Amino acid sequence: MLRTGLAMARGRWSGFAGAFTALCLGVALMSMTALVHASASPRVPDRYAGTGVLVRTPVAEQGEGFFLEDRPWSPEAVTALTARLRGIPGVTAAVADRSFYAQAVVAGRPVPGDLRGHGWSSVALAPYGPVEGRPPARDGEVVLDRALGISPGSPVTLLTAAGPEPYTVTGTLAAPGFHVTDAAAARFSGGVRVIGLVTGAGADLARVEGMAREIVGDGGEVLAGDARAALEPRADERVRWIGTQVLTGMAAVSGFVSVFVVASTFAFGVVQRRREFGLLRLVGATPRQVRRMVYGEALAVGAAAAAAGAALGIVLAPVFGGLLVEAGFEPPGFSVRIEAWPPVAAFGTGLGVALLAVWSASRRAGRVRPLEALREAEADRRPMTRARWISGAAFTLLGTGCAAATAGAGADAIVNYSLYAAMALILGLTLLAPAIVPPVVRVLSRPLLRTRGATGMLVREEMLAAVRRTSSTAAPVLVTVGFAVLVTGMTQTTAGAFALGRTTAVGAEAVVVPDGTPGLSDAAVTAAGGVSLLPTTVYGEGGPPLEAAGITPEALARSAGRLKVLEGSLAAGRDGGNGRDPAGNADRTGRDRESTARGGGDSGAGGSGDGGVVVARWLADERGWRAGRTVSLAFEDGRTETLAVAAVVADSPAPLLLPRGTVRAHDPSALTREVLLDGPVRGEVPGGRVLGAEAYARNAGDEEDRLVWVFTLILVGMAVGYTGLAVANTMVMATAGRAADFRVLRLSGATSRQVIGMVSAESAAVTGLGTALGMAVAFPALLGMRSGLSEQIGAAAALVVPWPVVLVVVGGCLALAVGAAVLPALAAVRRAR
Amino acid sequence: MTTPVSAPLPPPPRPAAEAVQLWSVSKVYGSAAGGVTALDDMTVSFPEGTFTAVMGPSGSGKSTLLHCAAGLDRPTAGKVTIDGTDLGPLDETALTLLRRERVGFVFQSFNLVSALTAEQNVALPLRLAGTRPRAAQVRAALAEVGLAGRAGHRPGELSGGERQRVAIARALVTGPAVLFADEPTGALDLATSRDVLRLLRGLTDDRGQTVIMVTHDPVAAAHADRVLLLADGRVVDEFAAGGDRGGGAGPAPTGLSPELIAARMAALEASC
Repeated sequence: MLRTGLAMARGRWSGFAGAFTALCLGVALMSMTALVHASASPRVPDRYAGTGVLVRTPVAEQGEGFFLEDRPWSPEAVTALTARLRGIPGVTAAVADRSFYAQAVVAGRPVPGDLRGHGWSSVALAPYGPVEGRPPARDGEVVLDRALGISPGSPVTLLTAAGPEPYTVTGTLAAPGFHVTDAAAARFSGGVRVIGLVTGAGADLARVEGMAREIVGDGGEVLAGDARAALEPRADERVRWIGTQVLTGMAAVSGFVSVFVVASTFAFGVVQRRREFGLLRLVGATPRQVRRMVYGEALAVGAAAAAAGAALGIVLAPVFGGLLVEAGFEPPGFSVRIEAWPPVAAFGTGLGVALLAVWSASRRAGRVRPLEALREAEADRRPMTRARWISGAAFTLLGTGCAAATAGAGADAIVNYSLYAAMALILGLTLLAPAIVPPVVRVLSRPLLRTRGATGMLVREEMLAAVRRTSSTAAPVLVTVGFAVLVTGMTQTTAGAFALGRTTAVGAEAVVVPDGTPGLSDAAVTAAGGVSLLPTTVYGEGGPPLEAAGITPEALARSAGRLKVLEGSLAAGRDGGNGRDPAGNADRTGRDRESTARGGGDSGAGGSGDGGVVVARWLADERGWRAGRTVSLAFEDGRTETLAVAAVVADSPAPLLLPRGTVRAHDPSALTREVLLDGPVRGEVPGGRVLGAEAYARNAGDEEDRLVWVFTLILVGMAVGYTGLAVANTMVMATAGRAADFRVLRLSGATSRQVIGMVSAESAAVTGLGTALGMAVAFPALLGMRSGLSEQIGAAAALVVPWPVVLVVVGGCLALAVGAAVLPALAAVRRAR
Repeated sequence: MTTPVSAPLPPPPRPAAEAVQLWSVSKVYGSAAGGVTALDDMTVSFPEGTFTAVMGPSGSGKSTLLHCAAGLDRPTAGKVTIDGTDLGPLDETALTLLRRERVGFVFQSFNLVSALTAEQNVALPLRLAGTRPRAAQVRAALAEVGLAGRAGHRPGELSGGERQRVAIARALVTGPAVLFADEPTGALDLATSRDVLRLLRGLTDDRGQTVIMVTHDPVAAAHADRVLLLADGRVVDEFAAGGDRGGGAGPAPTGLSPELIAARMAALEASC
């Protein structure tokens, strides 16, 4: 039976081309992403590769998507630990590894790359080559990457969290990062999280490891061998996590859209082959046998396509890995390992997808009655069944609901919601297309009747007569345009609205954002004036690390309208500052950078006073941190302070708001993300640029928004690609089946130019129809989302639709549809001549 | 199923048995009120080993009769039996199995699968039944219709008459109780038509094959043992060839002549 099926499929391969291509690409994508995914595992950082045994601070469990640094040891613990670890036989040094933000400024521009500074002794942990020149010996001396092209003895401007400072290069290394004296590193950085054990030649590493374990006990974790990969920077871990999200999204979309394309290809094929199935039924095939035959075809096409796709994935994976690194979805140094299971799994999934997709088509084929073999091609039957109505309406509602829910979702959930919305809308509208298309065509094409030529009339009547063809072509266009407008509009509108919300909350007119740096230094903040947050991480009474932000009392007062105080008062935060004025602190930072950098480090021991803490409601509920009580918080430098809870607020930019001075005192390396200004900037802002509030809302360009946007474009691009496939496939199949019509037209006196003109006009009209319907679906959803957002941020959010992207999408669909119809029509007309 | 098609001798005649019977069969298309009655309370039977021609003007219900009798369409009322089996209670699959084993079809438009060779087309019902067709069996069926040398050709490479012969071979390969033919010569020229009709006549004469043929052509009908004339969904006239037809092929010497049939048809159409 299978052989008969194959024999019957012979000569109709063109009909399967669309399904084959869709599946092949889908499986290639899956195989590729799975390979990349499998390769994306942490590696031992180069910085620690020369050290056999390392100790790190205990790791606290964090929620999905959180990559905060773990709590460092207190300075006392570090001193005690290093002293005891150094005593292990074979250990020549126990190096407390410190990291802080540092960036070289060359010709006035910050240089991108590895932006971390370390103490000189950390060099001993890495297998770096010899230093050219000499190590740093005093403050103001640095050893940096040879690749920067700055030779020993030259001056260099180094940017740290305090601001730019002149340095002298004493040496260069063939390694990234900036190395200063250990004393300077201790001032610039917070606490210590890693202690590396430098061992002499011939030391017994296993024994060192065992003894280190005994010494450290519960106070840390001893890592050796491959386990050292756990020391990968949290930032790299986060980038990889985002990469995984992107890969998962791509694989899900490609799998889903493959089902869609393969299903519609087979469904269309079954419609075209009703006579053939009827004949089989006539000569004795049971409905089940017909179903199985269709499955057999899907299996054959699926196996071939999946095998080709899996192989293609293996070839493309390394290229793709490189692109991901470039786009920032994978950490630098990432490379793809080829393994067997990802392509095999992708092959299996591809087969599964093919069989799933053909389910409905096979049922339809099985229902063909034997008498249909005896009838000539009949007009399209009513394609809408009750089940189709119900499920179509249900999915459309679900999709619209998801789109609306986006308004209330957090920033990170928006991509997910828009993805669900798009998928549900794709399904719903595809199901409803045969019902929607005819009335719309009838209304839209009425003007065509008044034209004098034959083309207008023919185009209208052809579109109406072949409802199924028209809707199966219009549906993918509808879906793509709807998807593109919805998803890109959602992402941009939401990002813009949240940015607008931040500026509106404090009535800001301009915003200073980092320019070529990961954040703004204190020098930049002081130069800009305005309102800003200084983000840091704190560790409170057990539980996972917490995000916190330092805020000046002035900024706190101006944000009061947004914060919605539930308990206590914000004023308590200012008054509880124990005479220390955090605003003054920020000013002083500008006047005397060095004293802040040093003073911050030193004053940590004495405590920065008991300034009040503002706690977000969810955290207050979770930890019982009510207004009036005190909480004990450990900071980035490992020191602990007891602070009073001044207020609990409903809606806070960070779970914890602390006096800015307190944060700066404990976290010398923290950078400010942006400064909101209510007036013109006083002078130049080093390492930052100024945006008007509107420009800022339009391109709120932080790294995360950029990644989300790239991700969105990838998804839209993929959807357009697949739709193009679906449209082209339907058009080729449909046009090829109309050769007889064209012959009749030619015999009735139409020139070939008129026939081609008619076909082009029809494709363009169908594309226009799909575009109009897609917009009609996307805009209400976007407008609903905008009103939700406006309410949330308390200002009129702008609806941002990236028209260039939408135009490219529509133009692409148009070109594909017309091309795919005209080429086979040309061939048919030539043959008829 | 296993009836050897190549067997030279006909099975012993059982004149009493009925291959196909219809009792009070009605078929109404569309809703009850505005419906079209294609068959109107028709009771008719087709004895085993006979060749019946069903004639009538367009819209007289002759195709509907064939479809209902063959189990391709379900009557609105009444009962149909094929080879003693009542079709009413059978579901779609059971009906398919019955058709596959007991019924053969030949139609005007040949209805061959264009992608398959003559041999594969003939073997299709056997494959669908799950039996591996023996090459000899399929070749014998092709030889019987005079196409032994064309087994490997696809329908596109065969003439109209050859294609119709392939269709007949396919209809016979399972050894059906009854062979239905719907205008089998409608698309053929005169000479080819005569060959195909002789072939059908020979099947009844040589093997006792029951044949029910719908036609509008008096020349074709003259090959039958019996002619049913239909009008408005009823049997309005019926006549048979007189005497034994013997073993000869071609129109019976004593019975039906095309002229007689044409005259009865004309009379019928005049009375309508």
